Amino acid sequence: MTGAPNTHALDEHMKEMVLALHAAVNRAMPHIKDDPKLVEQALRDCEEILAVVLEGNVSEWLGTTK
Amino acid sequence: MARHDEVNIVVCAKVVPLSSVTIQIDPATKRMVRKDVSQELDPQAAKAVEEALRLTEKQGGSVTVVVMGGDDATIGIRGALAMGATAAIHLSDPALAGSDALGTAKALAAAIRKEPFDLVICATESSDSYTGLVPGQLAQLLGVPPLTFATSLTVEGRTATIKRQSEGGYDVVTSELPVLVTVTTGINEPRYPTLKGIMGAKKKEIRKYTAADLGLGPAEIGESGAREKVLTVGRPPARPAGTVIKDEGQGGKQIADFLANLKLI
Repeated sequence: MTGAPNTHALDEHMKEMVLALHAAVNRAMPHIKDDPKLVEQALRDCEEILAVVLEGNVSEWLGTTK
Repeated sequence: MARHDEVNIVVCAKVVPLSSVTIQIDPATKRMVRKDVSQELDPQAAKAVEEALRLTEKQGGSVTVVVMGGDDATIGIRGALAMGATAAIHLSDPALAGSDALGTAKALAAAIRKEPFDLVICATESSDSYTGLVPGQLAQLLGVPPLTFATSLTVEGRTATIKRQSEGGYDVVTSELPVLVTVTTGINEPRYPTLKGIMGAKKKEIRKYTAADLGLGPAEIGESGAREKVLTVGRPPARPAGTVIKDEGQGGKQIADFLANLKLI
């Protein structure tokens, strides 16, 4: 499905967020037993990203805030 | 103040389909279908970026990521910038599509020559096409020695030292800068982009070069310049079904007999 042209930047930003969440999980999963600090940091980073996504301040994400 | 041992590093990276995507091959062109496929920074290239970042965090300098790919490669380039790379160069031109390994190396070399560099870092091979040819060709075109299969990399003064993975262990190899280093999968675990990194990456520069900017024409790049042709693409032969041993008191013996038949024990 092709998105509307004016949503392209938003789509790209959301993809970046999803890839970052994916990368954080992939980094942490192998260390669940041997590196709790790393896992906790990854969880905090994921929470931070999800909080910003849920806040939904699109203009800030796209750098359009005056 | 600049440090005397700071290193300017160029990382050659690739943007590839997400590992969760089932790769499709276009039967007409024998090329991987990339259009409308979700992509990411190649996990192998992420290790090259990570190694470059670790070096510059220790010694100062810059990390410039060079990527050749279509418009949809931006997502992977931003990924590298979000990890912490200083700047990025995107080689994007329909004329580059269909380039073989040598054409790719020529384009990368032309872009890298525009940069002041001490060190070029590449993955040993990309995780989509796995030719492993580009780094050696690139080193030749740049006129720098290649240090390959690095499982560790250090730079002291103007000397780079790697541990080169070998069948029985490793060799320690050094070279004066400038040099090209290929890193193996085991060299590090790359960092992931944080929110701060993602937002910071939006302010970083991505320079775009076309084939003309690189001084390259159809005789050297793209489908017309490719001397290497993919004739067929096939699936690996199906593996025969395995033997299931149900343990009804004789399982251990049956496994031992099975291994003995194969002369493994």
